[in-house]
Amino acid sequence: MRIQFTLLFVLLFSLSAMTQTLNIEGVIKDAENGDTLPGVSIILKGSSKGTQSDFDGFYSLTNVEKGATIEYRYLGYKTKEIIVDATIMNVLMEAESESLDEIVVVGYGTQRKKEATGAVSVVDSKTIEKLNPTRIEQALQGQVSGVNITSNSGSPGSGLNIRIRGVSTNGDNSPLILVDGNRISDLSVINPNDIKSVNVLKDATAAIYGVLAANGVILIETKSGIKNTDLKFTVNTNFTLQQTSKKIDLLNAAGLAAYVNEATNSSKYFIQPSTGLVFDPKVSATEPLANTDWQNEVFELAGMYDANINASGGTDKVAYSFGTSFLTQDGIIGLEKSNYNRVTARANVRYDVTDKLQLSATAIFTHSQKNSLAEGGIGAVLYNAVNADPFTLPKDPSALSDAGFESLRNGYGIVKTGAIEVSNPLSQIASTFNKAVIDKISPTLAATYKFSDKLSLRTKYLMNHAVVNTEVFRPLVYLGNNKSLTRITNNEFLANVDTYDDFTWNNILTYQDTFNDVHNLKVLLGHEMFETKGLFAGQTGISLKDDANSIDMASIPNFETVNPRFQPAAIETGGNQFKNRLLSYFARLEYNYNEKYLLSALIRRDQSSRFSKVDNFNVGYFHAVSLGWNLTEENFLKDNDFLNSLKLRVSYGELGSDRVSGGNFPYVGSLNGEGVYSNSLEVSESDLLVGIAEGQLGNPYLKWETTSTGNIGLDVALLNNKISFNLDVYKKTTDDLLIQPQSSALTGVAGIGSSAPAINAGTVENSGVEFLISYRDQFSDDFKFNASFNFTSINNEVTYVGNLAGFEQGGGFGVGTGIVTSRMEAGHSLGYFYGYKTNGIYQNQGEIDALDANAPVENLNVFHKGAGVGDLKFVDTNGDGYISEEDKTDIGDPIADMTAGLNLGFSYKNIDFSFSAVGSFGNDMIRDYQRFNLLANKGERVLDRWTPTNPSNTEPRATSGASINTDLFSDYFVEDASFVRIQNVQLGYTFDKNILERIKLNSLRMFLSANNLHTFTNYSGYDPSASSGDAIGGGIDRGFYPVAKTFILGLSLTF
Amino acid sequence: MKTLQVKKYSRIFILSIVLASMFVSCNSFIDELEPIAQDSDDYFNSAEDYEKALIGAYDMLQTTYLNILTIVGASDDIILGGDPFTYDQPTLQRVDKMDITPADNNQLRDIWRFMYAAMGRANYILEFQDKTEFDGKDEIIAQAYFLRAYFAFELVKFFGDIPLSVEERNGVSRIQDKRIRIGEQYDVNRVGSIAKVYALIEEDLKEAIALGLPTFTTDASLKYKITETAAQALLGKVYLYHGTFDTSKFSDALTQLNSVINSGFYSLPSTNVFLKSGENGPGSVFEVQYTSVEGAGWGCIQCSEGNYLPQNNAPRDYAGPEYKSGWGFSLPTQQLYDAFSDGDRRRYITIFEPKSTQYSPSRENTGYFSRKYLPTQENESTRMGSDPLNYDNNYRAIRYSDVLLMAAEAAAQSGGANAISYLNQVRNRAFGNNSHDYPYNGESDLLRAILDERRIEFAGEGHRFFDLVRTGKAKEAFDNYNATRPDQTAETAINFEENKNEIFPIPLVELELANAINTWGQNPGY
Repeated sequence: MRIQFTLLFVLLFSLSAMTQTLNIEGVIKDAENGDTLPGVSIILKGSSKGTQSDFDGFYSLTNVEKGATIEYRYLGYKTKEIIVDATIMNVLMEAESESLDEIVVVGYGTQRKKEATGAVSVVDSKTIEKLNPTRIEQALQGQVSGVNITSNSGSPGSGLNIRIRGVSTNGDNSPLILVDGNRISDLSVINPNDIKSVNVLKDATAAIYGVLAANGVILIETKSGIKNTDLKFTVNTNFTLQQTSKKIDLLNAAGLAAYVNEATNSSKYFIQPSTGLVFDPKVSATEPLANTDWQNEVFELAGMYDANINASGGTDKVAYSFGTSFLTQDGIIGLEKSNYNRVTARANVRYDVTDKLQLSATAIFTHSQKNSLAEGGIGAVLYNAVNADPFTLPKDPSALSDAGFESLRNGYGIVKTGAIEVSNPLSQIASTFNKAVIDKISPTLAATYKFSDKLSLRTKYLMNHAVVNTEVFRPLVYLGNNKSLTRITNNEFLANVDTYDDFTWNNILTYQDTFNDVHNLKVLLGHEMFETKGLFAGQTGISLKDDANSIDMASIPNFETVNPRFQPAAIETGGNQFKNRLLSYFARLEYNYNEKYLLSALIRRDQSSRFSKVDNFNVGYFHAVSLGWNLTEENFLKDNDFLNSLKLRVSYGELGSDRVSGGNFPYVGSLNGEGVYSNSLEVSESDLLVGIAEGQLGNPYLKWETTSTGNIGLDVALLNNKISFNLDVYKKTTDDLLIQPQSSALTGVAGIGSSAPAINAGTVENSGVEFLISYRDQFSDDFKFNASFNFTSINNEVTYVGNLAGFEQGGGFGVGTGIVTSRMEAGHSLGYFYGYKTNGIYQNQGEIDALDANAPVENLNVFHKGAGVGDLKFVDTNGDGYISEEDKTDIGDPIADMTAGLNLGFSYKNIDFSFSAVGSFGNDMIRDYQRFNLLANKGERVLDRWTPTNPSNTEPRATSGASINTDLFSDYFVEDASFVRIQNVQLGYTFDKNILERIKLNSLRMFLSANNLHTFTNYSGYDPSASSGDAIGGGIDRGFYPVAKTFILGLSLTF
Repeated sequence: MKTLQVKKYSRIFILSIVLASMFVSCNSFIDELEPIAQDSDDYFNSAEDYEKALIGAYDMLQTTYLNILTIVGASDDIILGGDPFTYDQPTLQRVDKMDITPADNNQLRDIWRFMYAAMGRANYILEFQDKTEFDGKDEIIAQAYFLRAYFAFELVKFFGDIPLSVEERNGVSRIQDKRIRIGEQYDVNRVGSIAKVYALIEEDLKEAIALGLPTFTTDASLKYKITETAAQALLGKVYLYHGTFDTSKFSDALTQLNSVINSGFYSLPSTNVFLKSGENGPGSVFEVQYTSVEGAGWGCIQCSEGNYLPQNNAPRDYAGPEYKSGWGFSLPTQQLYDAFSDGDRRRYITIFEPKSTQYSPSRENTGYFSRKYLPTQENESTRMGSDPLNYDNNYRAIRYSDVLLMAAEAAAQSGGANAISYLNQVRNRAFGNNSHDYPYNGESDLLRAILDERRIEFAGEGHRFFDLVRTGKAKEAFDNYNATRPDQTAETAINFEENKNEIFPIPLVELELANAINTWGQNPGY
């Protein structure tokens, strides 16, 4: 330290030795909109002295002679010259056109886009503000190429799946997300209004993040203040109405009764010919049954309100930005039973302690509460709404046939559909109490010391601390005899507390220099340590004292029996915690020759605690090289009026992933299997005989998976930057896939709580083209127009599966059928659907007999047992003359072949309008939201079913239960889920400045906006864009909670 | 100029220090992080470790409810019904009708998976049996051998000549005392014949008995433990099955079963042993213990310590005073009902006849339900969790009446004594008097009388199919069933094929995962 002070002293001394000079500084802004401009070249004319404005548009120059001329140059702006006469020199620059040469964040640093050699997509705060998302992922959809966003639920506060350039592994496919450098995987904690920019690293240049980067990297920067600016407040407030974007077309009571009668060849449910009314002969021959539309019953018009305020400004030493926000959103199902409330607070402060030393700190605090209902498949509210028979009244005052539970019925109707697992969804909503409260704080602290203009060292410490409190109360309730949701013995209360902590500490040394005016060099050396850990605890209370049955009484001490979530044996074997560490060193070199020829090379060494230390299985090296060529810097193009910029980019590198499923230390066998036995005398769980058993089996040879990515890109801007386009062609190959395969039972993997070891086996290729074109023009002072269109094509293929079976499988279909739908197999898309092809409907017995004639006897029992005219006709794909297991084939896959986004906008005087749409093409979905039970409701599609008088060739006949139509998984259940969705339409009005000045406002804008206004699709289910996110087993629709169609009235003002 | 030089060197100096300290301080960052979870290859360091691992192996016994609920349907006595409006568990119904295919992935694959995992847990103990010495270890190792034998016996009954890793030990062919690790499954092969598998199981049980098992106890808290007589009973049973291939084994069976009978620990209670009060009583030689103190969920039914059979067996939508409702799967046939003579108290114990207004019929409803394992209102009131999967009914795996009838059969087959006496002890208990003693109603074929008695005595317990197969009477029984169906349209015929349906196919995916389509081959006929 003493040496450092000596150095400081020496530096300060040398400064004061100069005379007749000024130390100038200032902020460079866009003259029109006041945005700060980073990366502006600032050159003292007639000298080699110069600098660049930083990320916030701030710059400083020392020892400038008064009266000298400074030149400000920025691509797309008119060059400006100013004579030095004061120490503060704020500059407004006028754009040559609307195009900016943005700054891109490339990992541990920034680049001007002109210097960038990687495939990076940027979404700026303007786009985010326009789309007005509740989660930042929504703002990525359709805005940038190569990024696909799907949701597994439209319910408030639910997460979204981000996939960058396809699906490359059957494990975790989500990208690394860093908010101000801090790892935050759950973006629900971030208020989108706090975000300045989102940068998506798509190609090998992400290798600076090494073992974390295989699925791409998303870098999010929060808003920061600007030095020497006045305190400015921004307030946004929106009120939103939400409604379901879709209802599935279902049969009414008469339709279902007719189907049932036809299927059973009986008149179980009468239809009175004169009135068309439906009767239940078991109850009465005259009393009409209900005709309930359960979807109308469960879907509600729900409100949402959010408000946020940001304050920012700066003095000559400090720049600050603070924000706080509040969001409350009811669900379109169950309103407050699936609502989401969030409060966030954020700070971003930078302090220049000296010219050399800068400190900065950021913090994000989030408190959120999410209530939720059961979703996705049997037992879910929507599944019940789709499958409950329309004969039941939602509220039914009449007496029950199964008496004794009147008090637990709460007046709700009991669905008539026998014992199948379908219940009254309204009663289910009323008896669900499921709450998760998250408190999270994410601070970062950094100190940067500039040894000189060329050399600086930054140390940064980042951490996350989150506590997740989950409370579930299951009251006594009666939803019908034999329903799983019925609970008549013990009410139950789960109170779980999960604590997550992580920290990152990194140190980065950067050196930047220019030699002979043309050789620009940047070198970065870095080091990083990361640790993440979690601790899970909780208790379950069983049976409220004094026979109480109210959520108000639900706290652990009020229960008669309390069981811990983890038995001592589980705690002993580490079942209640996890811990991982990563140690990394990295270096990057960037060189360009006169901004014409660009080179970037990087290397990273990672050491992960997830792999064995023995023989350095835990050490990985990752690297990337990228080249760029700015052709417009060449003499032959330099002075043309047509091309403003033309750049070619090439990159290649290797990235990794250590995200292995299950277990912290998958290289050793764990002992956290379930080994509990009984002596049959127990009175409570704590009396059980607790033993041990093997859990996940270990694999000492396990290592990270590797993705090698090649990318060729072209960036073009023409006609005064009015038109620009980017084209990227890529291919990435993911090798040594980290998978936890199905293994032979002989190895004991099916023991309770046990699982197969993770192994490296499998190769997946993703290749595609990404294209973005944008056009912006100003036709007059009053009228501006912009449009952009992007598309991404993805070709996904598994090329190798490293087990002897040659495939991995997953994903289920139906309830209790044991049918497995999806596979990973060489030559197919990852997670393709494996089932039977159909070719219409059997129209005569001869067709069936012809196939059966060739079949071995035992085969008939399975494939054609009961097959009759009107049933689905399966295709004999292998040509052996009959239908058997071997005829299963590839009948679709959930991965889109192409996704696209279109954005349009114009402004005329005070009015602005914008429109955005997204599309996805070639993604298939399995229709699995219906229960194969005769009395469960059906989709309207069955109205066109085969009958002797209606020889349909698409819809099979009505059948009761056992049927080849439903017992075998075929393409009858696979639908094309391509869609185009109008994502956002917005009309805004900005008030005149001169009016606003009178009420002391800087700006005021009001807008009306509609999100998810319409989805064009042939898909029959709720949401063609939904996905579970699973690589094998995605694209199975068990009734995804639909995205809401929303109408927003918003106000944004600054003062 | 000199100042500049100083500055330059100072910077380099500082940087070197900073960088060096970074590297030094971090070296231990990864190395010091030891796995939180215990390493399964570094266990068995104390008596307690062995005891815990043994409980872990016992735990797998509780998964065998699945074996029972599957195999009861394979008989001529019970139809697997379920939801009448759909094929509720089509793979179970295929077992019922003998339409099984290798691609069926539900119950049969789970039985295959759980039983191999269970053997793996026993092998885990046996692999490390020499690691640590302590008093009482032999008893633990003996129990591990019993459990391995029990699980292997389940496998051979279902799948025939199963793959096992086998070695020569002291001149005898034995199952290897080690787990099959990932990668080794490709080298495991079928034992060679069903009889050879029985021989391997017999060796395990003999060793268990030789090492010394706990003796019969009246201490209720220790009743769960495997006893010497339990091992003798199981060994007798395996010999009896072995007798199908080698008649010399019948006398070995008799020896073991006589040991159990002569131990004097057991008797035939005159009360219903399937009531809660009958658990672990003098009529039970070995019981799988279940409890309902822990909740269960659909995601992992086998994770609970409870029994799923009662929920599976109870009538659908049943509303009555004694039992809870269930899924209505296990439906006794009219032929089974008729097989009970009037006055046989076992008809009531075996078959539950609710009023037709009290429940919803199942597919192929017969009006009868298996009463032995039903969810009672009584155990429901103490049952934890909402999903009705964890009833506390113990499974009476080896009953004393089973020992008596097996002994009678072994004696009849080997010319031993007491065959008629053993049979009549069982009949005597059933009728409450000796007026129905063998020979009865002109029945003079002792072996047939014993087999018929087994059908009546053990209906709904999962023994019938295996008894039919080992005695070669399966075809005859199923043909008889098909011919005597009361409702030829409602009840589907059973497609039993000889030399095929005696055992079940190895699930196709398991053949694939072990790369064994050619090495093991599928079971004949599938």
